[in-house]
Amino acid sequence: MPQARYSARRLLQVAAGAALMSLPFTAAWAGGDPEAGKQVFKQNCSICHSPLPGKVIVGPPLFGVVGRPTTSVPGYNYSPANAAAHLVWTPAQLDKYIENPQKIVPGTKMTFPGLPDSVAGNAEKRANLIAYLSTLK
Amino acid sequence: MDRRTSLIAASVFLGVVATAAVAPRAADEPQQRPIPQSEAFEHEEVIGKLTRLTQKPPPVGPAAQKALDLIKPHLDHDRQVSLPPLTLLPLLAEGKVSPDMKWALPLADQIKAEQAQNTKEHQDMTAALTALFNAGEEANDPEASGIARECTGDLLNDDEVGEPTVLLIGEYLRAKLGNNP
Repeated sequence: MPQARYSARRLLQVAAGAALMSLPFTAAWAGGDPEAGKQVFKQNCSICHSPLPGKVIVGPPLFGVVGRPTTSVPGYNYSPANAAAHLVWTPAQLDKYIENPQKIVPGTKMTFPGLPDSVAGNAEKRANLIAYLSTLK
Repeated sequence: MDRRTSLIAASVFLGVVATAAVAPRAADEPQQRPIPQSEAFEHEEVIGKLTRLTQKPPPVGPAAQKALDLIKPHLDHDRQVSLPPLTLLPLLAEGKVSPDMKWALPLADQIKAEQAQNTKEHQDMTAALTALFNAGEEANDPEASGIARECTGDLLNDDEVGEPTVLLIGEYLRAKLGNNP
């Protein structure tokens, strides 16, 4: 039964995400400043994403995004590319994605160009943003 | 033919040649095919709204100008390439396919070939619209922020509906009519 396999896979993704989330923050995104991250969110994400639960704008709400699998917001029609990605939005995964969305999920319909390392200060912005997103729960 | 008649004939000939050399050839000009009226209306609305925002003081005005400078040529290209095939949809939906629809094939092929460039342009426009959104927030101008968000939704519509539909039209016509001109 495809639906059963899908659910099992989704459960595995959630379990893997929860396990990764329990690891201590040691990567580049560790130690970010949530208050500074809120500004990064406002300046880069809020045109399309709401921080509130259940509020879909152009993109899905980012409430609870950290630790959840891709394509898991009910009522939002994700791109086939995102649906096929089968990722869990761990802080590390989000860091890679926000750096260059098209590289991590080729064909994603999110046209945000990213915060690439080629621009000074972007790694810190990503860390702060992820710290802020982690508070949305 | 006397000398005077010969001179007149030569002048007329040279005049015709000069006119032909200066006048643009129809084949060299991009053919402007019709586009769906709803799309034409929407384009006019977007350009009109952004143009109106450019008249506002900083930070909204300059941010709107930057967005307009990116969006206008993109929409002009859409009018030339990606929108004309959509005029075939009502006929195709009725099951009507004819060889005189083949003009849409090279346009669909062009859309496919330009996908990476199109994604890059959408990213640039999204960045400019995000800047306009932020300018609107900073200036406490909900109209500017709202128009920026609305335009972002339009870009998403292109990606989700417009472009795939043109590609589908191309695939359908090719399947029904073949590749022969």
